[in-house]
Amino acid sequence: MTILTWAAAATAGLVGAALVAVVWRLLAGPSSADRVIATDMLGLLAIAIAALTAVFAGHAAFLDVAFAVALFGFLAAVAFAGLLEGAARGPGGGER
Amino acid sequence: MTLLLEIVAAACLLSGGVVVAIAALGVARFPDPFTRMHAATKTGVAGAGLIMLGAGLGLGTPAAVLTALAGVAFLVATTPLASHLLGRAAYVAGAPIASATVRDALEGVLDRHLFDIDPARRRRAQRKPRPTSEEAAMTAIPFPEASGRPAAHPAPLRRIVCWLSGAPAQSEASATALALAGDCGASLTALSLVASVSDAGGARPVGGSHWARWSAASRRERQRTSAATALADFEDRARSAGVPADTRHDEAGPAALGRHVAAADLMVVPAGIDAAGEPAEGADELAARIAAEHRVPVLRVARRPGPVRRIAILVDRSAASAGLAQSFTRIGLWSDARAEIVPVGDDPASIEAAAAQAALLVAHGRIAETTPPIGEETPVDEIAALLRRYDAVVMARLGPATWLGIARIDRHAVAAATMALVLLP
Repeated sequence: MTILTWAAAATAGLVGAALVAVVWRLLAGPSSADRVIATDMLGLLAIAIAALTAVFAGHAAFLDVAFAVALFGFLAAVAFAGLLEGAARGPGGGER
Repeated sequence: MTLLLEIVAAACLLSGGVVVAIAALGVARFPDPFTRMHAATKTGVAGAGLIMLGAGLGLGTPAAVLTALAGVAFLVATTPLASHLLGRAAYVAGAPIASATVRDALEGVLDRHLFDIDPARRRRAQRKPRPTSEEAAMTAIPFPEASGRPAAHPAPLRRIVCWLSGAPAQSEASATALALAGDCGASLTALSLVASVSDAGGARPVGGSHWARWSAASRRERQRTSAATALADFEDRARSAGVPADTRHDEAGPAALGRHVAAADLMVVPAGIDAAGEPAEGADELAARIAAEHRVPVLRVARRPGPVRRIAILVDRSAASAGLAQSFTRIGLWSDARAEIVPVGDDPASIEAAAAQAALLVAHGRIAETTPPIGEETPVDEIAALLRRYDAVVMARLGPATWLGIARIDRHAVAAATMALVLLP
């Protein structure tokens, strides 16, 4: 199990670095489209973290968590896209 | 065999981590939202999928491997959809395209709007006030002649209407209306409106029309009872104050309101109720509704008011608050009070609007000045403490202007909750 835990630890470090970069983008913006994209990426990172937790804990249940996060990330991305587009289309959300 | 599996899993994990890190670097460093979306979704999915696969293989059980495979398949199936929608939304919202772009293939295909740094924060269309039928809006029921007694403080208020209902602040509202009418010699009319028989009101409840009729009848009964109680209280107060007052009761429902207030200069409304006498707040309140329909200036009474010596006028950059000072001078209420214009929001537009309104008030011979603005980040108790220094507040609306505003602290709503007297011109 040593090779696997070592690889998982290294991967966790990489994912942590990625997390910092994405959070910086989320806070810096500048437009709301950027923030939504960063949120989407955060969802992917959450999947990676849940999978790594499965390795560390030796428990397959965390893979189900990753699966659920993937599902919600998709729904969130679709909803955010609708919000962005609806706000851009102006009053009432109708076609212009 | 297990060693081989372990090495494969470790390789999957490591390569996934590297890919995820590269994706994050792309999200952070690429120049425009479209390239960032590309990095986040394509590379991100590859990295997260590899890590999930590696975890499944590392756990080694068939169930774990299957879960990981299902997760990867789900990611691969959904992320193209999500990224397409995100890119499309960013394009429609007018997100800037980096200067290195060679060709815009969507030009003329999709409607592209001006770039707005955060379109989700822009104002949305306000709910339109209900159109009133013509005869309700046009024919005014004549008011009795003004009482003709010498007025202590002559003001251009000649006709005041006081709303009667079962609101908790009703007796304070009655007392305020009587005091005002006594001060400026205006004629005072107490008005109660009860929903008409045909007006079931609101959504039809579960259970069909029988239940709807029963519910409407019981609501009408409740309104009648509370109107009668408020009327008795009002007449007692009017008799002891020696102010002559006229009373009216109408069962034609809220549609008749226009007819009753058509020639009034001010309407006194207790806080916290809607037209049917049910508890309400924000834009659903009766006071906010009447003010939004621009029928008559509304004085909303929440508690027993003290003497009015200092008033605050809350001005933001909305169109509704641009004419606040003008309507306030036209109403002529509190003419010797000191007015302070409080900009809501520290953007230059609000501060400029506040300065213009202060100048207008000074030109009308009022004592007026502007104060430092209430910023976006000011906590609720600080706003409330700031407003408690005033005796009354003049503002354009009672609650958030848009439904998105519900999520943030609304300074108008805080003012409505804090102040005893709110004038909605």
